[in-house]
Amino acid sequence: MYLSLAGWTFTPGKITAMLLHYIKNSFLFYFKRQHLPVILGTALSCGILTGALIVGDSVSYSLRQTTLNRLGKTEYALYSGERYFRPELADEIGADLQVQTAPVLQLSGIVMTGGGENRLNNVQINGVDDRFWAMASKDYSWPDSSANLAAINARLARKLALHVNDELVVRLNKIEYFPLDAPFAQDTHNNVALRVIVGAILDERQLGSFNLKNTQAPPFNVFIPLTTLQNAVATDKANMILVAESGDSHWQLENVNQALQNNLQLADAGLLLRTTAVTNKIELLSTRIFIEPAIISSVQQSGLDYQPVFTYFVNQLLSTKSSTPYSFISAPGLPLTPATMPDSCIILNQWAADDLQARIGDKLTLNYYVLGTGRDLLQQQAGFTVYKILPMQGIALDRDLMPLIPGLADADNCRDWEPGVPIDLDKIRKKDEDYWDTWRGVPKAYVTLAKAQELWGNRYGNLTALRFSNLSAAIDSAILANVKPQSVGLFFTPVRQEGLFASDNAQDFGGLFLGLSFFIIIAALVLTGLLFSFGLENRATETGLLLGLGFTTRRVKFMFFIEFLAVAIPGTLAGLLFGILYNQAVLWGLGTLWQDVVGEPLLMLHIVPRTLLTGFMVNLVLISCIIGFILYKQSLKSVTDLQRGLSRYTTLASSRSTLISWLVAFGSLTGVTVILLLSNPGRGKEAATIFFAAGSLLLLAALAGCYIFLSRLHRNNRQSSLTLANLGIMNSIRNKKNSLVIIGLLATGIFMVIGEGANRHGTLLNAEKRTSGTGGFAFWGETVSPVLHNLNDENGYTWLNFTADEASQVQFVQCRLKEGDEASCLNLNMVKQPRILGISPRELDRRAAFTFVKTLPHIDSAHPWLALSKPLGENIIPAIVDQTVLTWNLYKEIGDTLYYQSENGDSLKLYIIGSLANSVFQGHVLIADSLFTAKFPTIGGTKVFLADVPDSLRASVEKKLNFTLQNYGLELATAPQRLATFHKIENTYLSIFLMLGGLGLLLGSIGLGIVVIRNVLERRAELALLTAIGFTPRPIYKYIMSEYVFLLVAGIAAGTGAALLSILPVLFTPGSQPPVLSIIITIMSLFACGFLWIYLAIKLALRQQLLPALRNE
Amino acid sequence: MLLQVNNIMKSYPAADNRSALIILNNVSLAVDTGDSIAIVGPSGSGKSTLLNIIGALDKPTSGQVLLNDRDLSGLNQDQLAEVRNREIGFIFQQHHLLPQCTLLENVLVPVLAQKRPDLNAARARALQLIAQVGLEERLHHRPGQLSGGECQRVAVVRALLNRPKLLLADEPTGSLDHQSSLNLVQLLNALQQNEQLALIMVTHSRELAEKMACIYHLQDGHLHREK
Repeated sequence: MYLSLAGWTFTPGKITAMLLHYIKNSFLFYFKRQHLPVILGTALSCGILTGALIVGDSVSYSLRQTTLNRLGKTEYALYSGERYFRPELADEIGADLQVQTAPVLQLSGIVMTGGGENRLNNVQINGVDDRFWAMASKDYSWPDSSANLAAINARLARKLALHVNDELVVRLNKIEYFPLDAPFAQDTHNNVALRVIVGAILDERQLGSFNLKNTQAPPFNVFIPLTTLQNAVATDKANMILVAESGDSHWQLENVNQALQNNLQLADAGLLLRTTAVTNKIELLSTRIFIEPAIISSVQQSGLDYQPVFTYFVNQLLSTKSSTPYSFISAPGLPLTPATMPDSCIILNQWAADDLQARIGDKLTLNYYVLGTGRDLLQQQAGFTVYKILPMQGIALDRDLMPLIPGLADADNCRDWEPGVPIDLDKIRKKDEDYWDTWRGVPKAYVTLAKAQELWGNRYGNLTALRFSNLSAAIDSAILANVKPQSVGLFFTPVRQEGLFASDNAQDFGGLFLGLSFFIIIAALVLTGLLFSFGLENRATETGLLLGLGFTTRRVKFMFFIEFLAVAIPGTLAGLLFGILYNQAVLWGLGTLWQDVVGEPLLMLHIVPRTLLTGFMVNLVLISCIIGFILYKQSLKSVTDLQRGLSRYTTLASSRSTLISWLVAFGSLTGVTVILLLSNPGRGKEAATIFFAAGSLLLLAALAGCYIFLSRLHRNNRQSSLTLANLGIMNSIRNKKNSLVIIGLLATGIFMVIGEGANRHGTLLNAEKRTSGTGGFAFWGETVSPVLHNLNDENGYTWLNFTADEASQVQFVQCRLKEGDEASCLNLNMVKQPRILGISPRELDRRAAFTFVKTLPHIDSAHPWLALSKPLGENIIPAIVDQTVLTWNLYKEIGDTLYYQSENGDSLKLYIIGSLANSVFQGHVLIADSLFTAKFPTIGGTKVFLADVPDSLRASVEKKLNFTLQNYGLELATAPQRLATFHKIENTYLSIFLMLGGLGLLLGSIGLGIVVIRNVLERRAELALLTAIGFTPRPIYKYIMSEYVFLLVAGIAAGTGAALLSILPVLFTPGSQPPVLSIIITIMSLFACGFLWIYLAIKLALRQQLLPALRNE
Repeated sequence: MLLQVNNIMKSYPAADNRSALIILNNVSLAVDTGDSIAIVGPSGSGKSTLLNIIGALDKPTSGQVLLNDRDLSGLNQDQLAEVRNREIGFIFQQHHLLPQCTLLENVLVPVLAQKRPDLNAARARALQLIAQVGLEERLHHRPGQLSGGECQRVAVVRALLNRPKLLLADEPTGSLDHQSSLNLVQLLNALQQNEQLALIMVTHSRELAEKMACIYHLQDGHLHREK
């Protein structure tokens, strides 16, 4: 049997045996000392490369496991936030689909221990029962649904040092069905405190990290029996349903939402039906007081005959002679308000007419509050003409017309009113009290529906009731048939699928660490190549001999290559083991020193055989290419040169190589010039990219220039000033290739280290400036419970207990918050729906706060914030995002769109019109407050604020904020501190890079040392001769040092020059703080390190006796 | 007397630590200016060792080397280096030319070992010597462009640059063919006479040894004069 290999035909037995014998002797016996460093170098490069890939697998696996752990068996989830529905809905859906379901009541709260000394804000309080625990992969159940039992997760236990049987206090708000910002909603929370005992500390598999948000950091979780929590917050409702995996019958999302539709009841949409006493009609009411437009549409679609009713609470009825305070005015339609009645007219009941001394035809004025933006109340008035006066009987006494406004409808007397608008109790007379006692909220006047809607219609609705005459009609089913659950904020999402997608598409840590380790991998590969090259050069005479004996070049190359493979394969296999260790080291680092990058330590080692194979093959291929190139270069040498050992020396400079170098240098410099002259870098990432490209080209030009310099040294036969130093420098042309490799390795390393290190964020100077990332604000505050007060008016200052000085100098910008995924460097998962902040564009524009990296061309660059105020179309809202979030979390650019759903179920598009430079808003998408409240009206109050506080008042204001808002779960930080948190994470990534880059540089300098030792040993005879002709050790050191210090300086200079160009934007960006000192220290350290290696290498080499090199024997 | 070697002993500890290996046993030699001496002997007899001791590259176990009435054993390393630079010229079997330097630069290398070198004077001297050896047309060629014999001639010139009084040649023809060897020895003799220096040459070749005025034989550690 013949074997054909590389064009040869030979009998396998004979030739293979010869080959193997030759390789075995070379590898195992004679040259094993040369091969050992090559094995080590191969193991190092493979280890780093494979290790980086394993890091990626481990992080990816860990994120996936985190997702699976936090969801348990949950496949779909419905979370309605501040809307509530019957817990039985979960069972009904489960019965329909034949799957496990669980209702949950999830609220945000504060947890305290130690009598309030230890406090933790933003805790998820979960009211659950055993159906929830059935969703876990590891069993748990309530041992006893007694009132004061709780289970907590490990993170919470660690944070507050809690153990089983410890007591803790949970503080949270009572449930309000009435939207917090709606007219007449009370502006104080009903806070409750629940004292519970820790019954268990749950681990991951017991749903301890239960969370529907796509983030790797587990929340702080407290689990309380559902009924206990419901009783505490005065509800019998839930706001979350979990649907388990469906096993064999795999339900699609549509099926689950259809099941929701099929089982939806009016109570789930916050609706109820009652029969009115006076008019004997079926009346549809909403717990939200104002009936949502989606419900009205459904009723209209149902074809039912109905009468719309709108009743409102006004401050005053004013006639020319008298006034009546605080009354209900209604628009009930027929028969109370005739169809012919003009909109400018009003009907009074007799009581009101008497009180106002009004007669038909008299002019009346109504004073009332309407809702402005946010919770602002605007006092307005409207004029009417008295059309009719109704006697106090019959339908004029319909007290069911009064909406069930909390604080009004349930008050026993007028003085107990707490309607959420200012009430001057002094204005309430005895007759008003008597009216209330007798007739309660019977309206004192009636207007047309059109007028009522014109005056008092708001974003929550423009009707307070619908009345149906047909008592026999199945009104509820008729309405429900047309209500889409999503229009009332009820819809399922495929949380498992989305969660796994987010974790599977998370930050590619494998690629990241490959990039961070790039230089060290290259350094290891180059070092391995160098070591192999040295070994090959040592065997130049052997190679020459083989060629002289008739071996073809190809055969010789093949033999060396096979020998190399025998070295590289064990080296690469060893590298795989080293890679696992490297991965462990990185995971340890991510869990400790670099914990900022991943948050809570969660990382698990995960080895994928495919990754090991990839690492093995890639490394083997890379190193084989390098070796193949080296073998190819050697094959270009003549046999006689090889036999004479002249392969070590470049006899003549290659004119072709020099020409290529000139072309590369010229081309690169031209590229640099073009980039700098023609590009319009602007600011931020674009400038960084452009200058980095220019720096890279300059580096290339510098390396080509070094080669040209070395070539000219070679060609220059004129004797320039002959000094020891010059003699040493000229030595560098003995092997231009090695010299250039050393220069290139050092230059590239320092270029990357300085280039990346300069992007490090330093301490925040100029943080007080409006253009900085803090916007010039002093504080950033976030609360768990929404703040219902306007902190910038008299009431707000009083509430905060501000002095007159503080009131006059402190200003707040309050922002509404819609919860979403954490979209900052703290979250590794892919983010689709970040948190949304509703901000005041006018307030930020007035302050010209923050700096924009980029805006769309049509945006007024002088007032970019104002562009947020105008919607761009039906359900298309302009948005602004922090540039870091845009690039690294959302993987989007300006002009892209984020997709959400508004409260009424409409698809909502947030169109990104601008990006901010490195701001405290990282993690959020910003939209105008007015558009926020239009699309998410249920989200009441503000949970985030920025505060302008003069330096002199900061301490006192901070104290007062912390005191007043402590039960709101306030987390207060100075704006610079908040920014520093984000910088810390970015700096951590840079630290990792710098550390790995530094290791690479160290490797490069070790390579320099190895080259020095090797060269000095090789030149022992030459050095012995110098000794013989009178050189003392010191000049010999100087002679050798001058060569290698020249290479060191050339490498550092080339790399530093190119790096400085690449970081020019950072150096000249106002407010940036490039780490100049750090850069100087890096350069000096590298120089010192390289100098030390060179010195040690020479010392080591010269310790050996030189004389024997001169001897003949 | 230019050089006096008095009762030199050179021994190395043996592998078994029992008895020392004696290379040179009570060797004495006197050389005056203008003498030309060949030292012959079998391979491993210690010829190069003796030359290295004379040339201050090695130290004897006992005995004395006086060069210009100065005892070399009393000098420190810097002083010995100066002696090697100014007073002794060394030629080895391999030329050991620096491959990256031109012929002229290679010749001038010894000047760089001096604290205050006079490069101009050295250059003039180098050109003169190079012309003497017939390589004036090859000043800017590198060793890779010269033949073995030419390289060895350059090594000879290098050894003579600083006008040493004593020229030591350790198998200078070892890498050359017969004719080149004869030519080199002829050159050495001519230069030795022109420069009025003492020449000690170690060689295997009896034919070349005969070209010297005196022949010493080194065997079993003892040196005795043949001619």
